[in-house]
Amino acid sequence: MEISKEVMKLLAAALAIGLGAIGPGIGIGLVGLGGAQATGRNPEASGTILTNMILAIAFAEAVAIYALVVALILLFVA
Amino acid sequence: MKRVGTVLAVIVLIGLCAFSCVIGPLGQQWVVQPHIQMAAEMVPIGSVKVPNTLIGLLIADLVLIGLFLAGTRHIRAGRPEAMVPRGLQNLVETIYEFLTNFLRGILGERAEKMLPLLITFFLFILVANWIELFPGFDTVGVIEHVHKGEGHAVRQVGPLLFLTHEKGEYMLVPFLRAANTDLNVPLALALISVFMTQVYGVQALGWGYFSRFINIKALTSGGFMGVMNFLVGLLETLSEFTKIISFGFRLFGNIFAGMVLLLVISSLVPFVAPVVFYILELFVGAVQALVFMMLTAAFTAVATAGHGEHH
Repeated sequence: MEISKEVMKLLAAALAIGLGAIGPGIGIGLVGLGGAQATGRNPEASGTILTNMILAIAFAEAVAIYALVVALILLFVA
Repeated sequence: MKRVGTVLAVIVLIGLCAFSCVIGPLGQQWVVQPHIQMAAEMVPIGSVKVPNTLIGLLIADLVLIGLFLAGTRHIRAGRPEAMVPRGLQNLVETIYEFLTNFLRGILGERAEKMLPLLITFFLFILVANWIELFPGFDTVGVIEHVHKGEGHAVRQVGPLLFLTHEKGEYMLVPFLRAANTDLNVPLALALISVFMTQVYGVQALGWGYFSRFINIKALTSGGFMGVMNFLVGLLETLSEFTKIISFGFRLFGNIFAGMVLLLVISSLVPFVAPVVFYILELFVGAVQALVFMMLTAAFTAVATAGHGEHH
């Protein structure tokens, strides 16, 4: 089977978001680990920890969003 | 008695799951594969075509405005019974108090000026996301000729038309779709958020706020660190633009993916299984609203803190 442009586009989009999600996934996992540990050690500070945790998750997630943007551009624009 | 009820509920749930697993694959031949499109579908209303996400957005607006007008009517009328809140007023006051306390915890004294914007962000995004979960969204609409790609055949039952699993040349244009599944809405919210961050920054620090971005003082004060500080300022400028992208696409990506997930799951296993994902989407919708509000709050906190205070 010949690999057409259409197939390459689909493959590239899948690879972009699939590979791009690995790093943020690990990162968000680490943030969650840190947040859970911190809450365990100091339950009174759970409010502040939650705030900081969600912020850090959002920054880690931003990388996955760039991958998503690339995938969407590949699928719908390129 | 209580225990019997629990056991019964569990048995019914397991039974439904088993039923779903058997029926699900069988049902596939009747279930329509979803038609997924990134841009909003245009619904013909009279002679004009309206994006269905706009209708979803207006409904979210109406729900919010109605809820708060109804909840605060005793307060606005100045009636004495407003002092002892009842019914809807309780709900509205609980929401307001929870959010204001939460934001004051993050922002401290600076919170007061930003509370309206931040709470509006949260409530609007929350309602706009959750409205997607109501029946009728993405499923009821008008049937049109397909523009490109494959369509489905239609079958008439009484006055209603249904899509069938057979191939044909028709597709569904739903009347209602959640606002945030259209990239325009999250991007607009992101632009407002980033713009207002600058406004609050200027309000707090005066025009010196912009030395965060183009730091001429650091450049003229000379030295290696001065040049580095200038370059850091340029990096800050770039990060303001990436903020818009990440704000917009975070919200859009999560909610759009949620919509696709619900559509696909509903067409794979039409019974029981979607319930789990509806619960997941409830969670995701709330978390995204919270993240949007908190990121805006955090960025404004950074913008109003002042560059010189740290040194």
